[in-house]
Amino acid sequence: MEQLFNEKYFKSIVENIPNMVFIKDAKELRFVVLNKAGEDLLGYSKEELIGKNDYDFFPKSEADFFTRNDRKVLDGKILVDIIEEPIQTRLKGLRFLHTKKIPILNDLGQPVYLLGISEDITEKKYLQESLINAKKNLEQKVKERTSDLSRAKAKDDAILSSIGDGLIVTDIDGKIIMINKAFEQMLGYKKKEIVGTQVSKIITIKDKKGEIIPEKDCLIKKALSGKMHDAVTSSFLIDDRYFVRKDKTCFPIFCIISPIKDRKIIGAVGVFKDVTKEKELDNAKAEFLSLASHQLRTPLSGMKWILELFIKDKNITNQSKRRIIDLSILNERLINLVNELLNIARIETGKWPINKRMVDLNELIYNSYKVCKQNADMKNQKINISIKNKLEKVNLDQLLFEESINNILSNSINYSPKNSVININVVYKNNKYIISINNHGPVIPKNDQEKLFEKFHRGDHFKIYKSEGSGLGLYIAKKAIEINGGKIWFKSNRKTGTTFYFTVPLLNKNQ
Amino acid sequence: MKLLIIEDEELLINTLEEKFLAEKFEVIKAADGEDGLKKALDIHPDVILLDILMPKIDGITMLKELRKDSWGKHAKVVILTNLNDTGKVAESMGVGLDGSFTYLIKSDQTLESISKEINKVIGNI
Repeated sequence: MEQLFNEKYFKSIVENIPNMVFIKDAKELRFVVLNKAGEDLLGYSKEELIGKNDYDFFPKSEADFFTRNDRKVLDGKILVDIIEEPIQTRLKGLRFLHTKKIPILNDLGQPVYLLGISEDITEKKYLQESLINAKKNLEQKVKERTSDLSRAKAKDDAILSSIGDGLIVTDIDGKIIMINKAFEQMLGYKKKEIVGTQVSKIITIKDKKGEIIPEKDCLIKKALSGKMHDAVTSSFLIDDRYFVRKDKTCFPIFCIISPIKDRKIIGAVGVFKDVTKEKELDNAKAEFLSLASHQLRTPLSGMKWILELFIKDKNITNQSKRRIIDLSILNERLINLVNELLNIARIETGKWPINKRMVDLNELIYNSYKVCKQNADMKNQKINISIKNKLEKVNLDQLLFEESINNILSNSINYSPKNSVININVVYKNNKYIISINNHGPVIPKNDQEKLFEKFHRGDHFKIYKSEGSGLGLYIAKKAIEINGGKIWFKSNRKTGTTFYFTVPLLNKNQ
Repeated sequence: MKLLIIEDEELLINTLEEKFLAEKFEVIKAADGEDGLKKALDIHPDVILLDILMPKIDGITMLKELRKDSWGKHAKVVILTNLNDTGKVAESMGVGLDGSFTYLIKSDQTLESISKEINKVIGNI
């Protein structure tokens, strides 16, 4: 203990304190002590500094500042804490110090010395400043980003709000997380009433008979289950889905639902449209079709039968008889055209009631052959049917199949020359039957090939074979084949002639 | 042989009548289902030729009513149809079309083939 307060050790302690320590005399504020840290900081050695005061080393403004504080300390006999003061050093440029100045009093309580301890806070200060700048910068960036986002969100909100279709977004559990204004209006629910609740509790879907469609068949559930790869559409023409409003009234909808993916499914989004008007239009079309069929039938059947009786009349001249025959032919053409148009109308508006049943393909092909054979015989054409193995029963709409095969076969007969051969072939491939009908008529030119299945298209080459023809046969055949789940294509060249191919799918073994 | 024709279109029913009179049938005409049902139950014809799409009570309704009667159950009925009325035809299938007493004919056939069908039904062929 004695040794610690020994002057030599004391001096050593002061000398090595890592902060600047200095002592000035109270009267003239000249330096009397300066430690190593102080020498390093100020860039002057003790010898240079001792006996001198601030005005000898520092700019006047700084020296004034130091002196003011010194006087404050000594006159007031108080400790003064100078949080930050600039000081011009010799070697380190401008530095900032945190200085504490303490009065040293004698036994009489009079100040004799001033003790100063200074910490160089320059680095800290710069660090603090850059931190503050960084913070300011960050704040500014955040403000800008927030403003960008707000604007973007406002834009999105405005877009979503104004799209006329209803929008609904659910999370992975089927809870509603967003709806738009159109949804509110269509269904009569307010956002706050339903956001956060299970979609199945809010949205009831009915079929056209008014029966509620079970939750498991609900499209949103299907989307969330991950069992679909892209959007699922419910077409109002086929599915006939109806939403139930808050007030229990219904309206028909067309909707598209997709899962929302972020590597895995995180929710579902659905867009739907009130199709009441479209349905009304559709119903009007159906009524028109029904009316047209019925109303056209009377004059067409009537004319056919009356002409039939007329021709048997004994009192008419041969010339009149010829005229009656011509009328009958024209009437038949009219009947065929009307039937074709009505069929197209039914197929296109989805009013063809599709009855798929298990049918015997052999029998249907043979029936078609029988129907068309008469015309083939008149042109002395031979029809060969080649079916390798007994065909399995297939599931299709018989009337549609008849439309397809009859049109293709009668085209083959009509548009190939007399005395030629027509080949019908059936092969099995990849779980379907491929039926091919080949004739040796003219090659179909390239620009006709593209338009072959279009409504009312008739190749110029073919008009010489049959001057009248609606150009509807292949259009109907294609649609009918497609409804039965098949495809149609053709090949036409000089070597093999023209061959039409179409497929009939077989039932999957798993179904 | 008594043939009852139920058909609302005057032109068609007269033409049919002419044909079947020439075939030596006794022809009774009715212009709607109601009248047709009454005449069927009164006269008990050998065969009835029925048009499916008629106003007043339509053909199917008339047929359903006819089948409720003890005689009407076995009456031979040939239905004239534009086969594109598949919906209606299917409905008629539900009315005891087990092959024995109800038959379908496409109305866009010739009178000759319609006549052949009728004769087949009553066993003349």
